[in-house]
Amino acid sequence: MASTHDGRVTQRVGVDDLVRLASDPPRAAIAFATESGPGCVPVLVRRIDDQIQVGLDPASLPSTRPLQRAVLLVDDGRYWFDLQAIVRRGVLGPLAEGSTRALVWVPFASQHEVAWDYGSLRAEPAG
Amino acid sequence: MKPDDPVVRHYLAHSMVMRLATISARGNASITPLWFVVDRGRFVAATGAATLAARNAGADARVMLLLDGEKAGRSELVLRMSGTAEVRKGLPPARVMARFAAKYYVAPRGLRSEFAHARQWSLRTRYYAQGEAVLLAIEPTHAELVSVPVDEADPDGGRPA
Repeated sequence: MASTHDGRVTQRVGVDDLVRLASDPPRAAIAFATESGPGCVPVLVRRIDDQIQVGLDPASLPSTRPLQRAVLLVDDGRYWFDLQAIVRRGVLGPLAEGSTRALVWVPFASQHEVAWDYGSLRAEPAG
Repeated sequence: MKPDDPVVRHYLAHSMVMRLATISARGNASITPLWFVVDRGRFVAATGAATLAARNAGADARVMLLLDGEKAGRSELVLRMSGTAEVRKGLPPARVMARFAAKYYVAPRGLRSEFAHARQWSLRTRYYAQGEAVLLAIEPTHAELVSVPVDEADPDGGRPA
């Protein structure tokens, strides 16, 4: 007879299980597609009410076309069981016209998100 | 900046996790944190064949990655490298496994983390056995330092703690 813990082993968790990482990430980055391949830049993240905002340097973004679709990663941890991450796929709001400051906050509308926490590695119930 | 620049070597020596950006065959971007070692001038990461990073790199070899040099302390500069990835089936060769072990498992903090989770070791073995393993070998072609944005309104200096 199969044990209740003979199912798939997973590190997946809900975003709500990683409250500290979501609210105060030690680091964050966005990735996006460009004509010359993938791009990525370090960013800041904050939440104003229910809205996620990404703080970025406009000069670090590709100038060839407006950036809309992006993937936002926040993660923490150095060792196997310490790694936690939240990946959100969504849409970045438009930059203010003529943004030249080194930090501009833009809204990020998350459309799909996954989270994992290797410290919570566990077997899901079978069946 | 060339991949063998002393600044690049500093970031390689002090970074534990790379953030690897890839794109799919349909042009969708993705970014994943990965453990890595440097072997013969290449970044090497072991992951599952079914992961987005592996599937994307198999479809489009162009990658970009970020290194924080976090072991050297907080910095307002991150090393960004672009390169090409090769996806190989199977486990890393023994010399690469030894580098992973030295970096992540037998280093003092790594050991502490391992023993704190000793009850999950068998689960980790099962976790890896669930899927096909692949090796991502990344040949860096270009490197540059990019600034982490600073929020001057933040009393901690802007970068999240």
